[in-house]
Amino acid sequence: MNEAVINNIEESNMKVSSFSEDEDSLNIEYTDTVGQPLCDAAKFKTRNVNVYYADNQAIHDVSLDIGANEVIALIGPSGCGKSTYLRTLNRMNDTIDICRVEGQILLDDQNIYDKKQDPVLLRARVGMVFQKPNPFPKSIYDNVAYGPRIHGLTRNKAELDDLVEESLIKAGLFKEVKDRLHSPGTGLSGGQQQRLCIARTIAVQPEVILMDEPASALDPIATAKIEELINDLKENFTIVIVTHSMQQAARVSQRTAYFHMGRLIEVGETDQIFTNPSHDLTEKYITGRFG
Amino acid sequence: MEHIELEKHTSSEYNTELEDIKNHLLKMGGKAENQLRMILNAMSENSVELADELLSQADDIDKMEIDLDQECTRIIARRQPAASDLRLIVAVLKSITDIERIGDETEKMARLLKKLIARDFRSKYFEEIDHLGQEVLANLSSALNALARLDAEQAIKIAQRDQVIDAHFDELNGHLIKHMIKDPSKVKPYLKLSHSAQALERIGDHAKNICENVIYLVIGKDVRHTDMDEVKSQLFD
Repeated sequence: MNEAVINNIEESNMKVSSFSEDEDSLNIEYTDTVGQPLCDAAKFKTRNVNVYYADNQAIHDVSLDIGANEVIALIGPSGCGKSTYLRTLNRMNDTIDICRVEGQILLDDQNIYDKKQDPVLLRARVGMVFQKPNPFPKSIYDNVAYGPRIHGLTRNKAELDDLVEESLIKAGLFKEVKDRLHSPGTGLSGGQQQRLCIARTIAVQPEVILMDEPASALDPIATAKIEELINDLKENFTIVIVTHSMQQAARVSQRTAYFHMGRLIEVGETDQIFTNPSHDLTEKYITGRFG
Repeated sequence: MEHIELEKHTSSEYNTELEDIKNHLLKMGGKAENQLRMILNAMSENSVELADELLSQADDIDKMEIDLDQECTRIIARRQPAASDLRLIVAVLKSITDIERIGDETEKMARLLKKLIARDFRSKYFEEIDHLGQEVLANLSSALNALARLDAEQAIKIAQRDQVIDAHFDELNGHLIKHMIKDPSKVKPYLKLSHSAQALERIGDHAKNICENVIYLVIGKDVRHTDMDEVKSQLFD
């Protein structure tokens, strides 16, 4: 980690490189990231992040802070790089051979791409919930207990029982499953399965939860429950959520970051982004003029 | 966002809906402007017929208000507008209330005029009220033009002119009060003139509100209860 580099970036007023591109439908001159990409009490500091899939650059020079205990929504049209950026935060891109990440990604000022960093331990600190609920083919109890067992987080069965119960309570699922903890997790409804995956994620006591379209496969009631849960979880966790639903971003997040063609275009308070965005591209996307 | 485009949504139906509510609002504003012109003509021509004609049209603006309210509610429910689209809906909802009240003020003036004509009362102050009315009419027309062109800079200039209208009203009302004190037998008709002048001053306030709504729509800043000179220097100087 190089503090001097970070300070230089901050002092240079977040100059993300200017660029200009032709795009048939949008004759707009691209500019630096507008708004407030930096924040106080940052949990994650990411600086000049570039991501490549082989020769294809998917993320261009993104610098963004993620504040502790904030919910930040990453929005943008398909292929804009928001999921790729999200996956850099717990090195999920490591699983893709042709993927290369440049720049600095610091969690509590520690470089998560340091050679000494164990990605498995990193992913215990930075958990992830995916678009499609993916419970293990195990019981509800074992789904939640899986992480604590492999990380050795509890000393005995009683402690593990408590941790499973606490995680299911935090995920808003305990009341619905307390009488069938040893039934298969896959037997739950889609919304319940997703909350089970959230319980599984928080059972290893992460600091950050990454959510990649966590409600897009769910009905409106299950979606509302997940959104309510996100609101409760921010008390204890930092949450980064990628969503295609702008209404969802507006409902659950405090800050919103808008990505376009691999660039971070604008970051701001969610209220400001949805009532008075500063950048034309943000305006056009959230008002449905493209996307 | 100083450049507002109502068109270019992926949904062309949405473009049409937003264009429609803006056009309906301008039509409603034009109706109110016309009623103000009618009452000023009725006063200068001492015409009960013109006052009656105005009163017979009064329901049109109320109906337009209800229709536009419903249309805005429908767009909010179906489209969940954001950014400039959301500000447009908010500005339209606020402006229709102002325009409806402008209509109410002109109706009030028509009823007052009919009572004055019934008493066969004329005074040199009819002319003074007409001067005030022409200033208010010019401001209202300009405010509606600024709305049609989404011109925030022009809206600020027009809003600043409301101070001139207020000063003119205070002066005129002061004269009317002096006459009431001097000749108590004519308190009632002079009071009606004072109420007419007050109605014009209120119309001026509503025109200013429309300007503030234009500024909110175009710039995204709520400038109500803020000194307009300060707003101008912050936004444009």
